[in-house]
Amino acid sequence: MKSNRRYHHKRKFSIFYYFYIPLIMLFFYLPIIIIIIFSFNEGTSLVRWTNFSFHWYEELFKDRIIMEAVQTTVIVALLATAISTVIGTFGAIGIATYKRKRATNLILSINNLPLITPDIVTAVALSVLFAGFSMKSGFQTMLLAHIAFCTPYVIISVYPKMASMDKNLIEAAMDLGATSRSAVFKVIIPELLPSILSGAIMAFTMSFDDFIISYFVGGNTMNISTYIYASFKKAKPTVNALMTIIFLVLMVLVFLSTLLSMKSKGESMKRRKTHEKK
Amino acid sequence: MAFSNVNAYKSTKLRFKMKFSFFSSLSIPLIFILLFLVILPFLFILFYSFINVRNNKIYLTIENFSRFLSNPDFYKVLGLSLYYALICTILCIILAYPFAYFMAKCSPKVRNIVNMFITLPMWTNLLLRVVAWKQLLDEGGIISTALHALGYGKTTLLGTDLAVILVMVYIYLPFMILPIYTQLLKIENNLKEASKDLGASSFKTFCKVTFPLSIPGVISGFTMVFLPAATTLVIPKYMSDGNPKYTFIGQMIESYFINADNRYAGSAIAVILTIVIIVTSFIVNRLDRTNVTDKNPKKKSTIVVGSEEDRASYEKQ
Amino acid sequence: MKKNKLLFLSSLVFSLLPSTTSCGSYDLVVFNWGEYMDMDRLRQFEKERGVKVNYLTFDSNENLLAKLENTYFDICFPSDYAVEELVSKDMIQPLDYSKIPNFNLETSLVPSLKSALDTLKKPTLGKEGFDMLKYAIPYTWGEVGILYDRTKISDEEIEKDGWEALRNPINQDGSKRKVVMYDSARDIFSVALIANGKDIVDISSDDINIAKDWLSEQKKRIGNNLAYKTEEILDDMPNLKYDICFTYIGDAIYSMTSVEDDSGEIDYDRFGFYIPPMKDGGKTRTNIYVDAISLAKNSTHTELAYDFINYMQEHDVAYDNSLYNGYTSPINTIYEEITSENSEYEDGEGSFYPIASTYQIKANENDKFYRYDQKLKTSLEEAWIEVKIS
Repeated sequence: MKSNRRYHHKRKFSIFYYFYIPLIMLFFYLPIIIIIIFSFNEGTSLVRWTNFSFHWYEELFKDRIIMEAVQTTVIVALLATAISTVIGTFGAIGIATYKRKRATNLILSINNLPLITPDIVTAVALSVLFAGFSMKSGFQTMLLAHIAFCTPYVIISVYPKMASMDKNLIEAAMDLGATSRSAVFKVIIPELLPSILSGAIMAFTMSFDDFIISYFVGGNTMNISTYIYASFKKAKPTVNALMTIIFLVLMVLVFLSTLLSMKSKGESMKRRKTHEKK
Repeated sequence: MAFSNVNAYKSTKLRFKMKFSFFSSLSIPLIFILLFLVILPFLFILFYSFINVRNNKIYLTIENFSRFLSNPDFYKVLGLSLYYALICTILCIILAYPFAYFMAKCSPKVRNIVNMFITLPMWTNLLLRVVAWKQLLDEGGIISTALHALGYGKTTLLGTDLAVILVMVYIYLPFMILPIYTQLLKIENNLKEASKDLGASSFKTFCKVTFPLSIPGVISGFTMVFLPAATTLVIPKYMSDGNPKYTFIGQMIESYFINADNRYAGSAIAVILTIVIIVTSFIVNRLDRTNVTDKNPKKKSTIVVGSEEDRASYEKQ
Repeated sequence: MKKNKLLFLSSLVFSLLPSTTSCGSYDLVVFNWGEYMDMDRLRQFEKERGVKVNYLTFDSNENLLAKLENTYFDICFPSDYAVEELVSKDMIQPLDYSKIPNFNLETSLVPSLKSALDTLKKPTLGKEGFDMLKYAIPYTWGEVGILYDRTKISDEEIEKDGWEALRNPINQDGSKRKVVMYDSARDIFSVALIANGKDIVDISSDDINIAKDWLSEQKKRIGNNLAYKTEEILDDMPNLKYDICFTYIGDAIYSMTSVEDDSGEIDYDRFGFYIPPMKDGGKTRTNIYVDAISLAKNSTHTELAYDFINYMQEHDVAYDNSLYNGYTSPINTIYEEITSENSEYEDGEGSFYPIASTYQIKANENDKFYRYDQKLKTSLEEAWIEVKIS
């Protein structure tokens, strides 16, 4: 009976079901696909196809300043991710073990501040801070700012997992003679690993894509976004070549991480089942 | 025997305490970061908005605020930014709701794939996407070429409301779809089954059960779209085609802060903007609580905050 | 163990950093404007000397200054006020003219440019003079004027109204006038100041207010047909997106020599360029600029850099560069050659002569250079955003 009704329910919406989702997908992807295709066009036109060529890619790799911006972006993103993941993970473990829950909540709400304020306000605030300490804006300030806005993402990814973790696990480990340090590294962190990873991925993409904060605090150090903003008021096909590369790399990464998360979900289910059996 | 047992118990407890304080100490770097890179900047911005420098002397003043608050053009810019953001948000709700609804109805596998396909463009560099749209909408782009073929002459769509709002919707739509979708997933199927078993039609089920319960998702989507849309710097810059009509509040901050190198005035605008945002969030929150009788009154101030937690959970998927 | 790994990683990353700022395997690092030098000549230089030149481009002086502050360079091509700023930041060095035999400080330059630079040397109201030739050799120069579509706007109107033509909302054929203005506080305000007979160096806050009102009024009159843009104007004008703008001579010539008529031929008569005479009792006729070659203070390849600068002054090289970028040459011999009746510029002998009068800058004693002034920049930028949102 039940399944019947569900079937009926589904059919009523089938027209939407089959057309609406693809339609919106088309809206999302058509511009990207056009840009990708025409980045291989010999000419500059986005309508008339002249010849297949890697011309714009060659131009892109010849442009040392773009390549420098790419390098800066990657280095800042990697460093900011590494640092904020370490700080965020330990921080989440730390605040979850506070005895006063009010202190935990206070820190969590401070942590949420940069997430709810618009980027431009955060950007102005950080820029004013660095100026106040008369730090010259550049690579260091950009890195600090990125750590500042990446750490909260790690916290909100790791903390819920840590808070819901079975404390008996830690107690058991320590009863078995584990030092607190080994409890952290051998018990807690492995257990948190999936959420640490997803926090790190989030931090990386946030840092990699960031425009407004880098623009306000980076000074003359440019990442991809600020370079495009400063130099491409008039679009050139080299930008399209860059977009194609970034998009394809991202596609592989997102695909892998989806695969990973599906796998880890499956595994944790399995583990839980075996756990319950025990 | 019993005695020694108790002692052993006590000593483990003691050890525990020590260990847990060790655990708590792990949060020191985090507290450090939060203090110096989150709280302190906000205090600085507040401080800067009330000072100015003349002849190398710093003095307290409210002129940073009064120069804007007494200028009708400032209200115009602020109002315009909020107006375009509001239109964008409403369009996003209309487009996103059905999408999220059907997405939630898909099988888990399809759901995951659709989810992946939504996050992918969202993660691609914002500047690159906006520049892509600029090329498509400009003269010689695909849309104006199509219009040309239909006999509309040479046109660019840049510098029109259509271009500005279209690109805003394009950029922010995923931020509306995902919270609604997550909320809809949360609504248990059983609940709907129950209401249907009680004789309600599926339309009625939707109106009486699903929709009201999905409101929190819409609200968090609202804040996630409205706030960045109202403060955007990039979209009007690339879509305006030089028309000063599309000068929004983000560009004003940029002009004062970066071009004119006047940190004090720039900070003042940022403070005003923050106040406007707090008020807006407060109103939206109230809207939520009056619409749905809140089952967890404990969650008073967590809605805005919660939205970001949600955002994290979609983004990591 | 983990700590060590982290340390190792970070030291690795930091060791990568300096490599981004040093010049790597290049012998000479040159910063120039986009499409400003004949690349064949550059390659010839590389081949003859057996060196590698890293040629980088920028699109505004602000951009250049930003980049130079944290990158190594040997030679750059800043504009006049940027030369002054580079000098004030101690980033470029005085030139030793004995190492540049192809350039004669007294005779090589176009006389009117030379006298304009001499005027710049003298102190003016509240400002010290600036001896630009001490630090830089002019590469191109030009002046600001009005570029207009002659099918929409008559020569008579331009000659009668001058800068006011930028504020007239109706064309002679009754259509609405489409105006584009350069979206840069310094440039747009200098035009507004000149139109009101004000100085562009010694500017009072009253002057700024007058210019502001002039621009706000323009915005009101032209309405939706007014756009503020930057380098896109260079493409928009020959595509006939706008009817009138203010621009430098070099950019005007680019538009004049690339606009096509219906049959796809270059239509040399389509655009007109005009520098209005100074207002009675005014202080500035127009803004004059020079883009010049400068040598970095901490260049480690000074000999090669001087060789490069000298090579740039060779007659044939300077001629080809001038042909390539389309801007007026400051070198007198080339200037004369290109503007002569049988100049081979553009489409062979004689084809350039019709617009040679535009190319031929007649610098006037009231043509002024911008000056480097940080305080002025702030007040102009603030006034500019206030105009934009008005």
